[in-house]
Amino acid sequence: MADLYLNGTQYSAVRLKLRQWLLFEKAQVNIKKLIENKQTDEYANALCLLVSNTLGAPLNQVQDAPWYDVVSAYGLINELNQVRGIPLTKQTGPPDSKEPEIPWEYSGREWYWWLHTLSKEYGWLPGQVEELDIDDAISLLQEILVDEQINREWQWSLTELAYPYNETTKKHVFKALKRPEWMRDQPQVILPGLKLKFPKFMIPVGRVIGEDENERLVS
Amino acid sequence: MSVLSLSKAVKLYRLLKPYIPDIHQEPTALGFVSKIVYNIREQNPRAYVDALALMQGTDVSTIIETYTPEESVLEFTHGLEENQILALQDYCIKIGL
Repeated sequence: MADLYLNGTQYSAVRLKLRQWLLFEKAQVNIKKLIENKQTDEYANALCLLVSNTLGAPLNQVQDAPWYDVVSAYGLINELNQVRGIPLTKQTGPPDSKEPEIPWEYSGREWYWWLHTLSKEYGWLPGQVEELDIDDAISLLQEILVDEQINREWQWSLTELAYPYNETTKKHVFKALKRPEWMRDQPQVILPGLKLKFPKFMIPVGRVIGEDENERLVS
Repeated sequence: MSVLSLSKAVKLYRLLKPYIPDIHQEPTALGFVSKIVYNIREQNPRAYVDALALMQGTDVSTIIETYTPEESVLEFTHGLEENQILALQDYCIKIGL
């Protein structure tokens, strides 16, 4: 919790619980779109509305407050509502510009998706789910998704599709089910021109395939 | 003159944007503000009056009737300081305006 002032009136900014946080995130997405489209009037109104809803402050008071009070209030609210580094939330690639639209999508579905997913798994009531801290909710969701993926991989490994025939080796080779991006190892970044020196006793002896994929003999 | 609301501050920035100098060329706050006033008066007197009217919360005709050119410059400069133009510019750049 953090105290802040808008036009001389004190308010307390708090970390939002799951259901409120989902609305907050949706408003954030909307604000981002407005600024990308240079709809500055709508942007300012949307930001004031978000601050007003989050702090419980009257909208006209936020709209009339000095701009830097509103901006710093928004910054504080945003900081309080950050999600800690959970792999599931890490964006590894560029965002999909065109997310496929699904026919059963509707406004406000996010909450019902979370409620359904968590209550199905843990048998919780709506009141319990909506009061979850967002870090807890996302961590639990990650565990659910990991469980689902491991089960899927197990099922996959039992099917013939997982063992395609390799014409060259004349063998069936296991082909693992692809994991979602956040479950994969992070690729190691090798800086160009960076040479690492290892003590001689650590270097393998015999036929070695180097990083250039050429085979050479090391003695 | 009171500090502008977010919506009006963004409008002010959009009016002033073409006349805001490079911060590196005008490192002092006074020099920075003076350069904005100079640029906008020289290049677009209409935008100058519009911006002053916005900061004063009034209309263009009232500004023209009320202030002498010297008074208007003082009011304009005061308005930019009051609205923390440097911070406003920083914020607007950050959000991509």
